[in-house]
Amino acid sequence: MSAEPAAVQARGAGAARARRGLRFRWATLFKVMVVAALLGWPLARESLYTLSVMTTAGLFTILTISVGLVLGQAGQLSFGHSAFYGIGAYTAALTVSELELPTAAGLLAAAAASGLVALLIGRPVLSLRYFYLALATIGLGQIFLVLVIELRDLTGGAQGFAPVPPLEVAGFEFDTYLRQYYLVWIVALAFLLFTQRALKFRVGRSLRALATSEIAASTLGVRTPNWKLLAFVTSAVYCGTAGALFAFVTGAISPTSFSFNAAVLPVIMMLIGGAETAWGAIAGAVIMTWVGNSLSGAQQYSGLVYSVIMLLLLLFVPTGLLNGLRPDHRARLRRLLRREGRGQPAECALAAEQERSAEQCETRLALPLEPAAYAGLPVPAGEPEGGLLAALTSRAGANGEKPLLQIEHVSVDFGGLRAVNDVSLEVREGHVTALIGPNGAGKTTLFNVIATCRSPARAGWCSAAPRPPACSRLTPLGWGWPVLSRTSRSSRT
Amino acid sequence: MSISQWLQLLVAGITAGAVYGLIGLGYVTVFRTSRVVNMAQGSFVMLGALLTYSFFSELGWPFWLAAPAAILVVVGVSLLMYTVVIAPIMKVSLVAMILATIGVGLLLENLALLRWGGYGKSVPFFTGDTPFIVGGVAIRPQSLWVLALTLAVLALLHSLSNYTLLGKRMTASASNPVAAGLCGVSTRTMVLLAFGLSAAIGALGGIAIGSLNPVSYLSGGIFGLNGFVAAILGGWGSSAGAVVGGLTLGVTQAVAIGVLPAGYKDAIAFLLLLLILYFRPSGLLNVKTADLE
Repeated sequence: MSAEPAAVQARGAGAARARRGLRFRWATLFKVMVVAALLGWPLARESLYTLSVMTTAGLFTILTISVGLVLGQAGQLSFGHSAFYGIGAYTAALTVSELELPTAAGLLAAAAASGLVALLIGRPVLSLRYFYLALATIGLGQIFLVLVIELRDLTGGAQGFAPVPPLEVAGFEFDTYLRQYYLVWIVALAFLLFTQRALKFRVGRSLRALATSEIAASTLGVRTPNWKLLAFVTSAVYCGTAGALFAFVTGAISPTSFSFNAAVLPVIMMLIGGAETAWGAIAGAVIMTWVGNSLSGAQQYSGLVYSVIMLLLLLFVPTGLLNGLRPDHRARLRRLLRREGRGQPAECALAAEQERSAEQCETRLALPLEPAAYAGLPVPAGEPEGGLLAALTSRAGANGEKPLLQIEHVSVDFGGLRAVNDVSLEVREGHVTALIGPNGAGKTTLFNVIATCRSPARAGWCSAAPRPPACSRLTPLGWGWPVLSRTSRSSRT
Repeated sequence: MSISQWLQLLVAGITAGAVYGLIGLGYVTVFRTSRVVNMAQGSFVMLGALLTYSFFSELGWPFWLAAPAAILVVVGVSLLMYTVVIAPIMKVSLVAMILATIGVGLLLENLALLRWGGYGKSVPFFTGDTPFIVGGVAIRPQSLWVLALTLAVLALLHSLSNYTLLGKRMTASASNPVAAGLCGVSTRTMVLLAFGLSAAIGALGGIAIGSLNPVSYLSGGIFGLNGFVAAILGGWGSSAGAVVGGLTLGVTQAVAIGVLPAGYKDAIAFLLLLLILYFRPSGLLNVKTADLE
């Protein structure tokens, strides 16, 4: 039973890869060219001004990657990155200047300090969602700023902290613009490649699943708190490293670099590049850094320009410049231009799904369309339950007899209505078990009990039921539910 | 510190708390009708005060005309913001919507910086500035005005949502927009109404506090965050909760100022918020809100 969806998925993914084969290679070539251009241009033409601006862009690239990880992939509206950026910068500056540690140790200490703070506060903060999370992380940034300004003796207060010596690794000092440029961009590209690879595998799928729907993801066995914490801590480590590099590169730090604007700017950069790929971070960071620099003569207009750019991006290209207009806007534009054809059905699905790409839509649509595997099986009658519900079981020719799921005496009441009445059933390995019954028989309710017993507090379903004894036995299964895969119209009622 | 100094701090705390509560009411009004969390609410407060300053001091209008005119302009800004930015983005995602309101807040803040510059501006007191002394504690009439205004708005909102059909329509359009639409409620009108109402409340708060504290373009963000903290502290989604939360926050900050350097004031607000979010997410009044997805 578990193999089926996996096989379908593998087939779907293979087909998609074959379809994209040519484009895929072009994309790789493009990325290689971007990297080559980034690393090559200073050798061709050395301009100190351009170098220093691009070094800043590199720092922002790291911040944008970290925002893309938490906000773009996991969908968590966190503004904590400016605090972690600042924690990294001040940790590096203080360990090097006050404790007189070598600068390389300061860099590591900065990354570790940010990661540690994220680890300590992550679990409680991340249990908050949406605007609660946004507010709590904005609060984190505020508390950090207040501490920096108030602990004057240590941090230099609002005046800032200087001087910070340049980074030195094994006797090699990053003290010229050119060396700093390469230092920052090599770190940025390393983070980028690491993130991009990691997101292709289970990490990426889990994060995207919990961004789509946390409840649905958790019933499918994605341990949402752990993944969120992982993304949060990783992003804090990135930010901390960026902060340390910032301190070493500029040689002086002050609280203004870590204000709320520093929290919003990487979000705008992520919106430009799009949340889907970490590569967009480079585009966003470079574009916005140059926009910011071209405004340096008219500083008072910069906030205005940033906010207008942010609103325009959100309104018209919420998935990034590279992905083009929003599907509904695209359809409207097409209608305006009177081009023939109303777009593929996938595009309609896309309009409904809004944020995700059409390919994802297709794979999702393809998943449940494999009923053939179940159709031909002999169906011996199982024991009917409670007069209304019946569980039908059949051997699918596998060998194991180990019970995978046991449910004993589960009842659920809604007010005066007993929806599930004393149901017991067992799902054995190698069997296909179907739960059938007319509308209102309690099938979904039973599923909900099964799915949410890992977190019974949610929606209060389980609270009405006597704790199913099976649940306590299931929790130690570690990864929970490799077998439970569910398609539903709505996981929330 | 002597008792009277503590009492003086308490008065200041209650005044600030009442304003936080008033701003919190603005957030709650929008949220209860549209499920939108309007992070630009603080900018309405700032705009209300600065526009009143312009109408009163620069154009020389009488105060009774300047203040309502400022409120009307802020309401217009809010309706424009909903129509142009929020309504189209609401379809995209909740996260994009929150980001968009932050964007609008930044936009208004920076426009205010260009128009009014970086220095704080004051608006006149409602009724003079001769404090009366009660038991060694000086109380400004404006403090009483602020408290009375907050309670009046609270009473108004309470009776609106509990005793009028309009209020019930507004609540309905948030709890189930489709069903409300099927019952003949124009959700769009209701949400527009809520945005207008919350902008008016915010502007009123700005005008009320603008005489006690000079208001600059940055004040919006600070007031907005404090008001938001107040709304969550008391119990998100409840009008009474916003006021209770605001008063709690104001008094806590005032006490903290008595003990710690004044710079820690904002950190206290957020520390209080984090504690509440961890240990009692339903707020002081234990408000239950539907889980968002």
